[in-house]
Amino acid sequence: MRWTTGKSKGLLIGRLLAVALAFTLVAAACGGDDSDDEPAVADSTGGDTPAETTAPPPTTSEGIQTDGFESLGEVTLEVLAESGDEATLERATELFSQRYPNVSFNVTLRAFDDYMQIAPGIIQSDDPPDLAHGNQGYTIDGLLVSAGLIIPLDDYAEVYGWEEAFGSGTLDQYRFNDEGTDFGKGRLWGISAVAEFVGVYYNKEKLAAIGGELPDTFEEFEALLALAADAGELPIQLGNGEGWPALHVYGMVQAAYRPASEIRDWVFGEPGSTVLTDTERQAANTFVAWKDAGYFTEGVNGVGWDDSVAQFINGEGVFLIGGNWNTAVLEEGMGDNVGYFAMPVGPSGIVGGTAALALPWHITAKAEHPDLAAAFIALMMSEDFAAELAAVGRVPARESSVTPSGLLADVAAGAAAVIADEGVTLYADWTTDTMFNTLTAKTQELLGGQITGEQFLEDVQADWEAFFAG
Amino acid sequence: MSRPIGKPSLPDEASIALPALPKARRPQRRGRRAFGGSQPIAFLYLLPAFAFFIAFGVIPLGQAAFLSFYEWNGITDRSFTGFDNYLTVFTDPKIRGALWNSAILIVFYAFLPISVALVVVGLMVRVRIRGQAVYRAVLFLPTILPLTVVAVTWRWIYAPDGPLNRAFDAVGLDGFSRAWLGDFTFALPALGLVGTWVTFGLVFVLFIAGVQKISTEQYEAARIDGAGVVREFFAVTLPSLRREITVALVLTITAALRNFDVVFVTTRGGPGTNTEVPSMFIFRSVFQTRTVGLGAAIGVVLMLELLIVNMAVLWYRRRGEVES
Repeated sequence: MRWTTGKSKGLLIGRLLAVALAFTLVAAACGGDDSDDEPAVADSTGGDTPAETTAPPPTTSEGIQTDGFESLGEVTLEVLAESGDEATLERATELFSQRYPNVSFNVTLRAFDDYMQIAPGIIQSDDPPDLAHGNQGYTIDGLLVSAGLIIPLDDYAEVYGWEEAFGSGTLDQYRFNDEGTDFGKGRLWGISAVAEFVGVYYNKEKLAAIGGELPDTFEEFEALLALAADAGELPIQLGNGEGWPALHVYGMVQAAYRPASEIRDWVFGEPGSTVLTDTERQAANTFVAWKDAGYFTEGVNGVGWDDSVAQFINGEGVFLIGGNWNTAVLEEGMGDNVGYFAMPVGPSGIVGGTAALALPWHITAKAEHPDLAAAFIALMMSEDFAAELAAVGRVPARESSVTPSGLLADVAAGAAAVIADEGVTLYADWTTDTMFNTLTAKTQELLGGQITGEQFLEDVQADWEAFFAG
Repeated sequence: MSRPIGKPSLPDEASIALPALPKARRPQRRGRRAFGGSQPIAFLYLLPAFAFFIAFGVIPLGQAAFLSFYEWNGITDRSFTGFDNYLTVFTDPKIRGALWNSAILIVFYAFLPISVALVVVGLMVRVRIRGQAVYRAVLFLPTILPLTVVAVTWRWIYAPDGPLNRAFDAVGLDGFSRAWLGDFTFALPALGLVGTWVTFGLVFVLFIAGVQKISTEQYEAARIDGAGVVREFFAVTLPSLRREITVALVLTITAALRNFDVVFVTTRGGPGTNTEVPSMFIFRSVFQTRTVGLGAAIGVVLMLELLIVNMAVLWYRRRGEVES
């Protein structure tokens, strides 16, 4: 699991209802129409004898078909997706069906927690979807690769030029060896065009009221925290009931002190990697110092993340450190009063922080038309579609021609700053199969004063050692 | 995730509804003949229920027991590992901690509500209260509410700005206010008290029904002999409630050990690992770390623990009956 769990947890019931409704609509739009109307359409276009009437499909040097899917006749792509991509999929399926009216979609959406529990089982079934989301790390992607349930995308990446577009290193988070036992290396098994960044949201009125200005360095940011505390304001709104929200905060401090490349190596399990370094200790000590200074919400471990977001919207707290998937909720609640910036440069010398690409798209091994599925993915990866992503509130991982407005402009600028410095540090919970549970418990113990910063790092490293030793 | 627990409690659940009826009115003779040997066709009526029990009780239980000897991620081939998973259950400090927490929860789910209910019932014998049906209905309400609803409600009550803290603040006890569910000292007792609240009504209603069966002559005799409230309680009320106490113990201990909903909705085992319970580990093993065999092993251990504790309770009751 990764820390983005929380984004789907808020208003769970409402979301489930929305998903159920969306699913019904999509099913009605695709499935229902398929059976009743489309044979007639096919007749009118003469599509019932496609093999004779259309030219042979164009292929590339690798024998991959990238175009001319009209020749397939009526086909339906089955898609299993996490509900965060609902709006993205609506747009993408619409565009793809405009290009190929013979291709229809059957989309099944599930909320994050639910999705990660059931997806491997569905992908393993005798009748799996053609396309499905996975999740970086050993628990999902590693499992799917080791079981041979998904196909490598290297050839498609070459044909469609994904490595040039996204940066080869950026895609490492979707790589595994063929056994699914070595993360970050080997073939490419998935891809996403969406970036997810953790950054600092701030309440503009509050910041002005304490006489603060946007910080240019990590040091200045710390000074703002002290300034806020002195003014009687809550410096950082944080609800750590789930254990992962504090990890996002820690991740920002970590990247301020420690080179991002070291952090990535640790996540990918490079031999000899450790969090027991001087820079990491400085980060842990700083984090503890913030706790001791009362910079976080009182009773931090007893407040849920969604509640803390609501409190921030209500004017409790000058800063909120969280993922960019909170943007829509915050903008809706605070309007122009909320801004966003990437954590400014600290002793590490670069702008860095917890960030990664979104959940990967996989093509299942049993997909009937893998080239068609890849072409659909390619549409979502395309430069044109980057603008569509921005339009539905997501941060595209490649440059787009459209300049976002409002809070999303801040978020995009912050993301660009991190990318420019190669400061992406990935999600620490991808590291081992138990790391999510270790980290969530340990941040709570750290914030509850049960363990010291040094003990925190030792316990986390113990999980790392146990996994990579065996 | 299999849930092998719960089945043993079925006969007891049936008997909850019964004590309220005066025994003499039951058509016992006819019932006895129907289950006698003269009409074997009666067993046919049991067949559907028995088939369900096999399909959803026995077979999953067997599968869980089988899987507990394997290492399996739920997808690829499993490998036989003998008792390794059981070794992990008993040596992993985190799982042992969860088992210990569930033992503490038994105090809150079983012993606390039973003790309190006994005291209240003992007092009620002396003071006749009007409108008992209303109290019974209200007190029984927590038992019939879905546990997730209960958990969401209590999460709100325990919240830093929730009703409990506001009540403390209002009477000037600000020092007691805290984020209860995020507190390393109070989170587990706080969850335990949710359990007390849930099971108290059931236990109380059970005891009231039991007390109503005690003939008033016994109390009169005790009073003529000069027994006070305390003496009357230990001489008449408590011995007469032995059956109800047994039923209450079995039901509430089962509820304590199988606890999942309340923890999952409120703390997910936190803060740290302070409120971890075995069923949370089963969930994590199967759905998060994908160590299905380990999850199955924890399930089997939990079921055995339930069986042993409940059999001890039943054995204790039988011994008591033989003595008296």
